[in-house]
Amino acid sequence: MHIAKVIKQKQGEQVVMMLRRHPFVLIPAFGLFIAVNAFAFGAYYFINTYYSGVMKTDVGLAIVIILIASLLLSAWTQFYGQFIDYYLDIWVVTTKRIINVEQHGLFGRTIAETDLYKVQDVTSDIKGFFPTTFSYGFVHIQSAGETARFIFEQVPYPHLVRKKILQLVHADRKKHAQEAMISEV
Amino acid sequence: MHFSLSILLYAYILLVAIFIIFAVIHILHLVYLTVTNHLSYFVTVIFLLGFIVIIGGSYTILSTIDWNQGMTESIPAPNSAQQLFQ
Repeated sequence: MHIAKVIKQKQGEQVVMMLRRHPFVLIPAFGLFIAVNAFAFGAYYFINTYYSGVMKTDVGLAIVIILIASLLLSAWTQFYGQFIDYYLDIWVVTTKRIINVEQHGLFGRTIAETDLYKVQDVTSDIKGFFPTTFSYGFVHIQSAGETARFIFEQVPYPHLVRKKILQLVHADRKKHAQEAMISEV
Repeated sequence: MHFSLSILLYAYILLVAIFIIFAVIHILHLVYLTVTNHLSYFVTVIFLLGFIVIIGGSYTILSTIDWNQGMTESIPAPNSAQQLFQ
C-alpha cells in the first residue's frame, strides 16, 4: 500500500493497524453482478431460441447485441467501482494518529486524521444477523480535533479494534504528559 | 420515419467510450494509491479481461451487420396485420 503518497509518516511513528471493511460487505454487490450477468446471457439464449426470427434481421441482431453488451458493460463497471470503493476506504491506526482515507465514488476522496491524545471516547457496535455472524461492525471515535467524529465502517472485530485504540490512546497520553513535564523542568 | 441503422452503432460506441473512461479513472485511483497488492491486481486483470471479451464479442457480432441500411426497411410494418386481409 502506497499510503505514503497521501500521508507522510512522522518520525518514530509505527503503523499498528490498517483496516478495511469486512469482505462480506462486497457479497450483495457480487450477487447483483452475477444476477445481471445471468439475466443478460439468459435473455440472449431466450431470444435466440424462441424469437430466432428477430436475430435473423440486422436491426433485431443489432438491438439485441447492443442492449445485452451495454447491460454487461454497466454491470462489470459498476462492480469494479464497488470494489474500488471498498478497497480504497482505509483506516490506519498508528502509534500517534488515526487516519481515515475514504473514497466517495469516482471523483471524491476524503482524508482526515486526528492525534491519538485528542481522542475522547471510543465505542464499538455490532448490529444485525450477518455482522454478528461474521464479526464486523462500527467503531466510533470521538475526538477533540478538527474532525470531531471518526467512524470505522463495517470493520472486522470492532471490539478488539476499540480495545487496541484505547490502549494506544493511553500510551500516547502518557508519553505526551511525560514530554510536557520534561519541557516544564 | 426513416433512420439509418448506424445511429445505434454511434450510440453504442459513445456508451463504450464512457465505460472505458470510467474504467480508466478507477484504475488510475488504484495506481495512485496502491500498485503492489495481489488482490487489486487480480480483480483488475479479471475486470479488464471481462471488459475486452464483452467489447470484442459484441464487435465480432456487430461487424457482420450492414449499418448503411435503414431501420424501417427491416422492422415489420405496423400495418402488416391490415395487409393480411387485403
